[in-house]
Amino acid sequence: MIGLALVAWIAAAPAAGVDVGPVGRALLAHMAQGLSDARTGEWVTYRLDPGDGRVTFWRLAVVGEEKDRLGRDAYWLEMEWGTHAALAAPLAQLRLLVAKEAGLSRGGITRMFWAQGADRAAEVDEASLAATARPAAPRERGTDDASALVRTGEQSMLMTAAGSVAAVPVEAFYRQTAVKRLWISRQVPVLHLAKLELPAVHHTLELQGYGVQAKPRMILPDPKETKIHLEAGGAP
Amino acid sequence: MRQPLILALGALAAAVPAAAEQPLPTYPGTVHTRIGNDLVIGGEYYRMAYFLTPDPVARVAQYFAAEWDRLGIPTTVDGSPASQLVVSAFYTREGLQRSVVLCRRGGKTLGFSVLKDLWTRPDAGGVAEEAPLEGALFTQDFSARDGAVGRARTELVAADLGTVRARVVARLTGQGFRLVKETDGSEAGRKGLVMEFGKGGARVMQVLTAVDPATTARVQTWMGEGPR
Repeated sequence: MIGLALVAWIAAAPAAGVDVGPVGRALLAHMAQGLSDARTGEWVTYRLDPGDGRVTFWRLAVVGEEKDRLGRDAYWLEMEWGTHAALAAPLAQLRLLVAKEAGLSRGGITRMFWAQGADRAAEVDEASLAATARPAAPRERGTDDASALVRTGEQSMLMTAAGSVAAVPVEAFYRQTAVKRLWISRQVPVLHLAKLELPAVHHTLELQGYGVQAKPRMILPDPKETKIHLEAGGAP
Repeated sequence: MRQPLILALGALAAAVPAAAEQPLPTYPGTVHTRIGNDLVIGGEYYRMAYFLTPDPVARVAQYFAAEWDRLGIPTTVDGSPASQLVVSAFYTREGLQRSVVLCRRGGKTLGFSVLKDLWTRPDAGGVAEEAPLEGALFTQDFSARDGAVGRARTELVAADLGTVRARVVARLTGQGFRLVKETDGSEAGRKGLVMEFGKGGARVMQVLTAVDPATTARVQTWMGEGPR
């Protein structure tokens, strides 16, 4: 579900008011900070638990590098979502060409392939992406507010399904309420994120596995295939 | 010793990558008999086989559901062990669906093992699809992927036997065919007709069976130089 929302968010015009939910907002805020030091072959898998038992897994892998159409250094980033940690048969797949300097922000993505369920992958057309290709880092509500506070703790070992990693806890408060907790780790590739908690809604995202030998897994469509055109909805 | 080896081979077969010949799902300890080569049913590619086992339907279904779940393949189970159970696994990366259709027959479980291609559609090859007969409630076309055998159509028509016969004769004679043979095909108390039409080297067989006074089943088989 986050995958679909992410596609909608990336490709939709701001007027559409697409909401990716609390986990999506927190992730996008983190991902918009750039992927400048990610290297080809790095991959990471997370376990997402929305607190209602519907656990899913999310894999990100850097599978190639090239210049994007704006001449920027860019990564091919594959994302997969599924209900099994191995993601042998993902329920959604996304492949993005992401500019290193811009990260996973709207202006940073110049090519996108999308596959949902058992459908064959299709590319999103350039016009859909160009409409959003302007620098616009997402901001979280309250971050400019005097009531917002970010507190960073000491580095410590964090136990995860992928083993213990050295991580720095970062807590975001709003009016004395902890709204987000992140554990940032240099050991974890791609996003450097080991764990994320949203205590108010009992959502967690936790490291499931990581490595450095990722290969492209998404079967891409023939270039002659019809591309997907996305239009903003919800705006008059 | 033999059982673990078969289990291991079954698991290995299920994990073969997309580039290789895609295997059908198999139940350990049974003989799987292929039904034709690659088939085209309702405009989609299929590969099929059947097997028989003394194991109950629920146990066979559980085997496939557990095996696919272990491999991380999204799996569904539909139906009831008392009538028919269908276990399906969706190989989303390769665009394939593997299913087993299970039912009880003569004290044994009869299983149909099916591989369905979700991405590739057959090329019509310039041959226009024949429209369903007037009053058709259901139409299903069946052919081989490699065109090695003729094409068949199964149809259920909301009309009595005589009316359907008249519509079939009108359509085929309009296409230049000639009725060369007609015999009584009544069977088990149901009225029926078997007709053979010819045009040059092409032959079209028609088997009409009255399902009830207002419904007729039709099986049409093209042979020779008919449409493929």
